[in-house]
Amino acid sequence: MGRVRSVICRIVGATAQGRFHVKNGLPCQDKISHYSKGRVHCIALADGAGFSKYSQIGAKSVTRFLSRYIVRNFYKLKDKKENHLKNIFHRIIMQILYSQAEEVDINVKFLASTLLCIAFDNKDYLMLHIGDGLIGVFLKEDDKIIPISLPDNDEFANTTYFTTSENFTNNLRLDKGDVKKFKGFILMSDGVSESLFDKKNKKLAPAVKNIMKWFSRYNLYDIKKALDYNLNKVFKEKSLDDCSIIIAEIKNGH
Amino acid sequence: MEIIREELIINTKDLVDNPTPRVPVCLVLDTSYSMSGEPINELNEGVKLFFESIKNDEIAKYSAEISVITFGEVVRILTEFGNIETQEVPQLIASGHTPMGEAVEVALNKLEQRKTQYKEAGVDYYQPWLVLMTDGHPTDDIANAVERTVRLISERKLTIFPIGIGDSVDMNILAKFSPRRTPLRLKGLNFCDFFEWLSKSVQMVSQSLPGDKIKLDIEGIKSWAELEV
Repeated sequence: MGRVRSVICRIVGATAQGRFHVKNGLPCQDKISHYSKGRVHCIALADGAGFSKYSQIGAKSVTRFLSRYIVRNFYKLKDKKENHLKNIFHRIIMQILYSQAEEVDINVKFLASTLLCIAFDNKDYLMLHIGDGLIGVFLKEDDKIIPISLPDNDEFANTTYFTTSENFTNNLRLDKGDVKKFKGFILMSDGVSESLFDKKNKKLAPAVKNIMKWFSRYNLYDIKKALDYNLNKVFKEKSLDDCSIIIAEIKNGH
Repeated sequence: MEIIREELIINTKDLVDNPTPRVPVCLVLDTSYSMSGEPINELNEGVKLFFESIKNDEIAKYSAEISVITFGEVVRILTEFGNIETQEVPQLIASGHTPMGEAVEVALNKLEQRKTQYKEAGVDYYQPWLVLMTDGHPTDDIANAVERTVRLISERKLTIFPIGIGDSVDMNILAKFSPRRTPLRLKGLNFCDFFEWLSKSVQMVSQSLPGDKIKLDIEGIKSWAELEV
């Protein structure tokens, strides 16, 4: 029997409070989280809904607890059919949010956020996405970086879908596949995709590839500092919104 | 913030420059004969103030796009949607009847056309606004215009501001266009206060983020509208 390949994974992310939020006395409502156990890793990002001053609480809960749930149940989840998975995720997310809503004594709708999440082991990945923001994947071949889940704003610039939206299962996008051709994933909120995603041509900016190159040259501490710096000094200048990003670099090893 | 190595600072030339999301605003204005004299003069001042106010706002000037359609002798598109820095403020002249139905339909067509252009160019946009101002009753058939407007509003594809001018306006007609928002009657000829309020409202939209609820300045409405107690 051959040895099982493990996945060596480095994960780093950053968030920055947007100028709109600073001006209106709101905290940063973007949250990121990650969880790893054994061979399974999960990264998650959520952007709290602008209509609620409590939505960062929902964003934090959903990224934290959902990433744990998915990692712990990855092998049960990854082979389920799409409709079944959507119902499971809806149920789990609502459990997380209702539990949090009870704890802070507010209506669950005020905990709404978008949600981007990707879990993987050495063979497979499972992705879910509701709302705006973008998920990208770094390919081993040709060092390419491509988007695998685009922002979903409905028709208007100031609308999107949330974890608490009525048509959650219709608007939740799921994807599964083989992770062997990939060397990393990137999740970004709309505050960052404003600068990194060409909406007309549906392509990612050269800066994304440059960010991935950092992983071959620098340690996580330096990359984290760089992400913090760039979110606060570069990306914030081009968007009024909060900015957040989380990246997982995958290296198959023994 | 800690200084980092230069090679870790992202160069802005490696980023993309997406166009600013647009908010298309169509002013549909009664220029029938009854608007002659002081009403049309005040309306002209108000429209001029609106254009200037948008131009002077750092964010709205790249976001708001204004079209002006008048209805009097004929329905005229005085100003097409475009970059406000290159637009001239139109001069309105009063004459003729009140083909309101046709004017609203032209406005709805223009808004749809503009949205199509945005989609083709990869430009994000906010919900379009239609401002309908009249001092009388329509002299054409408004049924189709009403049906289209009401459908768009119920689908949350359009915001309408129906404003009545003077004592002869039929507010019930304006109400037909607006199932969600009660039409308001302008206080006297207070166009300038109305257009100042409108420009501030447009500025709020142009700064809004996904999930934001736009809260219009209800207190500010009191400066230009007659509000029934």
